[in-house]
Amino acid sequence: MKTLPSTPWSRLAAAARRAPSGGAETETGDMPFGFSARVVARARFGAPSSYGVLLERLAPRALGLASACALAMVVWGSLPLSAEARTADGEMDYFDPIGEVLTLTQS
Amino acid sequence: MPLDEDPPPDVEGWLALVRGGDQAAARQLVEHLYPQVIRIVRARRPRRMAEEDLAQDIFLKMFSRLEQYQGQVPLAHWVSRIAVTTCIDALRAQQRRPELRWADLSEKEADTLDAVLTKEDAADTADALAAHELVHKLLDQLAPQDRMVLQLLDLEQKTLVEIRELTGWNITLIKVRAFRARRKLQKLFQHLKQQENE
Repeated sequence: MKTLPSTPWSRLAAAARRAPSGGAETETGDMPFGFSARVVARARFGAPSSYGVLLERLAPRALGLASACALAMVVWGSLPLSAEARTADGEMDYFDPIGEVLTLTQS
Repeated sequence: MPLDEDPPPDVEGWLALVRGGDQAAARQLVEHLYPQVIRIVRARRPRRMAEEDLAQDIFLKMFSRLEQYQGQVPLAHWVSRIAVTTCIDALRAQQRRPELRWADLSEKEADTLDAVLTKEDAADTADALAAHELVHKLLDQLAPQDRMVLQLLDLEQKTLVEIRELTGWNITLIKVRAFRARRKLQKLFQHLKQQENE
């Protein structure tokens, strides 16, 4: 391993390495009583998926589907109108119900 | 093989059982991995956090991500990475400490800092316990990932390959993080030195 050039940090780190271990190595790795049972009880592994997990899994697919639908609608909206549809729209444009009512009341 | 020797743990078998919802196998897996996890937690947890809580979080994450484990790396390495990232998250969640000032140091820590700033042989002569405390005060000033890389590299003297296995970071990233972290510490030393001279 390459040794660090002598800097304040390298000297401090070297001095700190001489310190007796503050516990990490000296403490035993014995597990507290009941630890594994507590962990397993909280883990819920192998349990059927909750709605939250199911939604989480489906969310990216739903987003993809929604994006595809939005794109299709944009494409659909930008298509040129057929002659029949244009005529129907034109008829709707010429019909003015309020104008008709006003004309009737004035006459 | 001597008769009193324990048989090697059947980790793959336990994993298959755990995936099928076997709680006894899950407990055996926790018991098998606990010493390794607790070593990582003890060396790297935030000082104010209980090691048992952190260890429990690590195992819960392990079980929740078990479907993602494909066996490309040994399970112990995979769990180590979860443990290290959980410790980093815990350090990040810990409230950022206020700026370290010369006046915050104990007499011994101030002497140690003075020694490492001025004497080439300070590594051998400085008070080791004070140096240990001072190191942690300085590391507390760094970002959790910078702190982790220096702790692994300079204090625990792990190799780059060992750190890669433990953290999942590539070698270049480890070197870059170590370089940046040491540079930040260098600035911190200069800042403290200025305060001493004032």
